[in-house]
Amino acid sequence: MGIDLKVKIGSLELNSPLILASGTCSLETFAFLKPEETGAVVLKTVTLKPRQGNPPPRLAETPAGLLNTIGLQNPGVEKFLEHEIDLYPSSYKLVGSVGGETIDEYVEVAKKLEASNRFAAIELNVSCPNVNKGGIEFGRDEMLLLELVKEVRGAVSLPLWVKLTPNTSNIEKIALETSRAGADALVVTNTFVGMAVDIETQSSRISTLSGGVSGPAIKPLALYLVYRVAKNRNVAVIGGGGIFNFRDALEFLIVGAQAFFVGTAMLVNPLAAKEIISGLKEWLAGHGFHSIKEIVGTFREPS
Amino acid sequence: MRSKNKKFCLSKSRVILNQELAQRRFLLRFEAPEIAKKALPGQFIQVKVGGFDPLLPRPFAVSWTENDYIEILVEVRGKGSSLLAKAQEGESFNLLGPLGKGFSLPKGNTKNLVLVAGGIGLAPLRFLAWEASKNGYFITLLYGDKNQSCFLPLKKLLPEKVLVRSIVEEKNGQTGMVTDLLKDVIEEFKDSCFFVCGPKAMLKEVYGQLARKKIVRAQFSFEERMSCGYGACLGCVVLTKKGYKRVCLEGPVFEGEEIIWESI
Repeated sequence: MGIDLKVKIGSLELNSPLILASGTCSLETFAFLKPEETGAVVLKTVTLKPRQGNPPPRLAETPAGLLNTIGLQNPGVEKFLEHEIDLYPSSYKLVGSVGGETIDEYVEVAKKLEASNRFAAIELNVSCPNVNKGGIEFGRDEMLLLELVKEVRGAVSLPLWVKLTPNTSNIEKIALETSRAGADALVVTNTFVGMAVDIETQSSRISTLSGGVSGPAIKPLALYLVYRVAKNRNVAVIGGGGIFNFRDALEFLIVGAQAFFVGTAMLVNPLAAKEIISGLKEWLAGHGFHSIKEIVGTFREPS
Repeated sequence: MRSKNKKFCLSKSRVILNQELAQRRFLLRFEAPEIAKKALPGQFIQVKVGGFDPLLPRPFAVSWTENDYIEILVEVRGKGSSLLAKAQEGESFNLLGPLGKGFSLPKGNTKNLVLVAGGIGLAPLRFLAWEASKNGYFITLLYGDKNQSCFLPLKKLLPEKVLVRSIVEEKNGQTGMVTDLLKDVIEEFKDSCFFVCGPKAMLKEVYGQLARKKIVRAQFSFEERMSCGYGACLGCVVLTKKGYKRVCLEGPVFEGEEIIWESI
């Protein structure tokens, strides 16, 4: 089964279309991965200053879904580069995820990550629903987002990915403008804002009012957003949201994503990435394909 | 599935035994040689039940191991645990483990251990009791539970040598909580090492009592909503003097002194 797994996201060549989503991968995860089958691993978002994160409970399970309110817990970019980055294996393409409260903070963190020479790309997290300042504000406010992408683009030369929020009504426009501002790839999509109520106590099941929903529950919603963004063919799209098996991954590729990311599935089963890749290879070979690229964007519009 | 560097492994394991111990409480024994070989008291496993609903695996303390077998104690609380309680012997589940940092037995002269268990919190302490008694420690168990019908069969579960003092909340006659038991006997055990597992409010009360008596050698096993179980998602945290720590990776066992108890 000689399936060519390689894909290109802008100028960056990846070993496979499978990318591990930010916040769902730890050092322990690598024991369950293979570098030749892994496109890239997006590390947990880092910010300029350390962030303690939100109080527990940070998680609530919903039918086929996971509601979280982690709140970008991280040690801050300096500690991260000093103590943590060297622990990650160099045989993988690592992507640094950047968060911030101001444009200057994003720029500074991106520059520091680039200077470490450990990253293949930078991902801007402009879509975290669980922080008071920054995060999702940038993803929703077009003008602010454009300025942010332009500023970071001007400050670093690494490929720039922007992880968009689904919690907006005009994702096509935001996507188009973001790519014009210099993003090399759009990552669609981050979690959907949601909530869950404990009926016994009549209060939120997580420590905050709302959180981000991921998992199979959001797959059809995410898929439709990816379809809409990928229709504009000017920019690479990395699609995902609730991908749990190779069939899910194929759906995202068919509607036009050049690569896909897996997140919550890894929390349920650390072998999910491996299983998805072997399923993909087998399916593509069985259907007469020779490479991943051949399936991308093959969706047939209803007549 | 297992590779060289892995501290834990994923295995498809058969249920060898599923026994109802008390009301809504079950003992499950799995054939899981890799996990059995590595597991230490205080560590836990993740059991995947169902497909997309429940979605996440469920954490259970390893409660006993021998040769190729491990046991867990299951209390029926929600969807995951009720499915698991219905598991047929011969049925297989994906297990991930052993996970987390367990208890550490005292070195040196301290040979007296006090285990304080609230209800199903007995699960990890049971494994500790077996290991510790093999190693010549003297063990006293303080055990409290809701009522007689959910009361666990301690004789069956524990090594013979363990001294047991127990109490139930709802009963005619002497009633109370395990923390009341502790109050009565704490003076006798000032030089002992304490191991505690149960609901958070109980952990906090036990810590308070020990702290007032200046007993510092106490390890607490925490429970928190979890997803991955191996440190990736930062979902299951407890506030410590060094910030939020992951219950699944830096815990589930923490020294009492590490925790910011006001946050509990």
